[in-house]
Amino acid sequence: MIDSVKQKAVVLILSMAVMAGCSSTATQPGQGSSEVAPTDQNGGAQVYSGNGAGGVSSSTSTEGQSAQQQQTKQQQEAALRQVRTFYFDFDTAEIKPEARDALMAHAAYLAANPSAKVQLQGYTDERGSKEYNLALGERRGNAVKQFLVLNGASADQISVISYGEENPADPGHNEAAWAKNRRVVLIYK
Amino acid sequence: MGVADNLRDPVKQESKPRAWKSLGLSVGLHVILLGLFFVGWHWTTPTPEKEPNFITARLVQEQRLPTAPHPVKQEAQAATPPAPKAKPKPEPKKPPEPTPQQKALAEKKAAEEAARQKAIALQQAKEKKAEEEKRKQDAERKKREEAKRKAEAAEKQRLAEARKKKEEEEKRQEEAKRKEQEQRLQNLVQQAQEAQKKRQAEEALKAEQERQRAAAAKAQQARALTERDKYILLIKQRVTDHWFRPPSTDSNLSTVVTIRLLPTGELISATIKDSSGNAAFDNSVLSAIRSISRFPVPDDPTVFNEYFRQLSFQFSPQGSPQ
Amino acid sequence: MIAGLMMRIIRFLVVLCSFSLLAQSARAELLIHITKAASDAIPIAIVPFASPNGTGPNEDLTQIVRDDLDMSGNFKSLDPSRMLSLPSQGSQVYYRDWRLLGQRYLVIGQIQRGATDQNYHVQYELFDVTQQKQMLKSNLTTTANNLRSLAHVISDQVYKAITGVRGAFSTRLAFVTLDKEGGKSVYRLQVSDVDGQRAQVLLKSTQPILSPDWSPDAKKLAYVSFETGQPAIYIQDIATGKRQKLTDFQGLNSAPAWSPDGKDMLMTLSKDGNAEIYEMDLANRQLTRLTHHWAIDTEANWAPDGRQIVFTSDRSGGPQIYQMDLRTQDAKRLTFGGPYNASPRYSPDGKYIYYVHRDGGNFNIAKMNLSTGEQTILTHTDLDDSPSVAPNGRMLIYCTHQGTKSVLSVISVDGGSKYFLPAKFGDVREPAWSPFGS
Repeated sequence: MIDSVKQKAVVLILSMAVMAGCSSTATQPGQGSSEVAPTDQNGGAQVYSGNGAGGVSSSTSTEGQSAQQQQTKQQQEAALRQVRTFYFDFDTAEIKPEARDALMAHAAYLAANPSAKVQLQGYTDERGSKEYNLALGERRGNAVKQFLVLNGASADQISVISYGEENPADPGHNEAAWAKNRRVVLIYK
Repeated sequence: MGVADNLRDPVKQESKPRAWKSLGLSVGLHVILLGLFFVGWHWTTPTPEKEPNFITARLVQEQRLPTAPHPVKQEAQAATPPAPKAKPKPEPKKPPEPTPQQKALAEKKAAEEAARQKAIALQQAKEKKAEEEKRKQDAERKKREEAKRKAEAAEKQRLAEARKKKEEEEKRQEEAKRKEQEQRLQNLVQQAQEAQKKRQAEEALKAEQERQRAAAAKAQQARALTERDKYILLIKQRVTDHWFRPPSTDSNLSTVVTIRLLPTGELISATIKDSSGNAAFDNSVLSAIRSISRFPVPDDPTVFNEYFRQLSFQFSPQGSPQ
Repeated sequence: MIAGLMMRIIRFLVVLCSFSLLAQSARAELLIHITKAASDAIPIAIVPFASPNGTGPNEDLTQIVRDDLDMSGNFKSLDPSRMLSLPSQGSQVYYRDWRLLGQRYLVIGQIQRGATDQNYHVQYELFDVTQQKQMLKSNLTTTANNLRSLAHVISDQVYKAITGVRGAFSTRLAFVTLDKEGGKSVYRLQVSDVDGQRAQVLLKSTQPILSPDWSPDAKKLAYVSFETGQPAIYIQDIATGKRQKLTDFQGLNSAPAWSPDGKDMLMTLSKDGNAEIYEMDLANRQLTRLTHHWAIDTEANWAPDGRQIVFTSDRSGGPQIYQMDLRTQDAKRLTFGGPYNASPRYSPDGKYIYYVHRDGGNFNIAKMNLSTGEQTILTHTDLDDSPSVAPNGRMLIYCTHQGTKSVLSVISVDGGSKYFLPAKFGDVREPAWSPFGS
């Protein structure tokens, strides 16, 4: 038990590193249920702040949850997995804090379903160099891939392709459109 | 101290006599406190600190009083400077009392003896005296010598000190001199600089005056040359308006063209005097010149003849188009 | 006695002085410095060619020539409606008319179809209006479907005769168009004349096509296509349409750039983890990795001498342009102005680079003098990218926006004029100006 918590702690710390400076989102204790992601969130928040003890107690409470709670949790996760597009700031590949919960849910799903495969499509806005944008889109895709892998998904479940500034979600030429176009789209194959 | 402070406040409110009393009380209290402070200080002095004193005492005692039984007492002695102790004077020895029987003989003998003794004594005294004299003399000599030596040493020292002083003085003087020299040099430099500044200022003033004079002269000349300058500007503008530069990355091109004009401003001839080496560029220059049907020229035939009958243009592509 | 001698000497000196003064004033000829020009666009009148026996084509060839010369930014052609006369042979030319119209040069000519060979025959002349002389007389023949080529040849000849610089009007452009057809994106890789005419589709795909790059002989194009769902670099022969897949490594396969000798190709691959620049020997497809950096390194471009390359890297935090000596593989940063400089392209003489520069919120095309480091911003719209220089180094094409559409624009490298290629397509992007070829 403690070992697994430790492992999860390590995973979480690494995934925090991937998020590179993004502040951690507040976690809801009630969410901690089955295996990977939510437990990580609980344990992680505590592990990150000190030792692993809190993570243990959180996991323990998880075991005591009712089937109904579990069901609610699964529904929540499924709802989170509906979030398939993750946005970025100009010329960065930093995952935003608000993308975290959904990415955790996807990572949990991939971990629970080893046969599932996803493609991560990296995009940029239309500004600047097309070639540079291709590389930037790939960097964004890779950042998301790394996050998923660190949170339980297997690298061979995930492929990354960059379209750069092609296929914009919004064809406009303004900041509102560009914000929608700087993204990684997660597609289950 | 805190106690004293507490006491002071009521004192202030009381009448003077009582205040005096209180002051006495306060002073007394302070004295007590001070005493307590010292006692306290003694009490609180850590014991190891005593040890150096003890060691010192023993050393003193070994040197001066080998059998002193109480080191602690000695400590007290050592601690206080030893009181000047009067030296016990040696008691004069009394001669033995003579018997009556022997008195005559003895007296004679004694007289003889006495005489002898006296003589001896005299002799001895003499010797002693002489010796003493000698000793005295010696001592005196010694003293003199000592004094002399001391005097000499003192003199020597005085001399040395004087020399040293002199040297120092000299050094100081030298230093002062050097400093003075430096100062003087600096002053000189400064003076020179100031002089130069002044000169420069004067020159600047002169130049300014000169410039003003020149400007005035020029203005006068310009007034005289207005005609010429006006037409130079007009011609320059006309040529600029008619020049289309060919595309070229080379901004170092330069072409000089000489033209001859009729008094009406019509072009007689235009010849490349100094080619840029770039045919298109040279051609653009000729094209500009030849596209001007009539150059603006002054009506005054003297001005025209002097400046505009023949003139040259240097075309270089620096700068952006107008 | 002595005083008299002194007087004489003084008098002599005075005379001498005044003589030399006189001599000086006699030599002082006016020299006027001209450093500014009225314009860099030379006025030229191109009279519609006459067709004496009525066998001329329907298409007005001279309009093609006018468009070409106007596009260069070095000329400003006269609208035929303003012409006072329409001469077609030298004897009909009255220089004074053209001078009155402010014209410097005049082109006149005739076109007719050969009775036997069905080819078109053109005879034209170029005149210097101010110097009142004929500069050029030329006879050209072409087939009916090649009339536009003939017009571009005239443009080239006129351009060269007047400016001394080889015209680039007979070269070609490659670009990618994007249209929405039935809700689907359709990408087309096309090549056309420099005026956008006679476009010919080389590849059509619902997946992105990117980064066309010409072979030095102007016969082939390298490009990136996502047609398989993954990016891959292809080489396609323009005349035969035959093509081969060059790379389809995992990750990026992008930014192909042919070497000046056509033997090697630079490309960006991320097969080793992230975007790095590689050089491929096209004979044996051997790869040499040129950059080794955790940052993005991409869009390399060869110097004309083949010894150096420029590329974009964000190793300093944001995209900036670096120059690498291929022998030492030492990279030196070239751009320091502004947070974003990318897509570098050498000028044909290797003295300049043209690139995308972010100035405040705008993305513009800039040029840098490589010997001085001086930067000049050439465009002043807001979303300009993909600069590509004409092989004569006088014009530059880039991608910009008009309304919601992306269009191609040609400017003089001095930043003078601006010419939009007629936009017959939804979106036009990724322009690549061809070399002169053979």
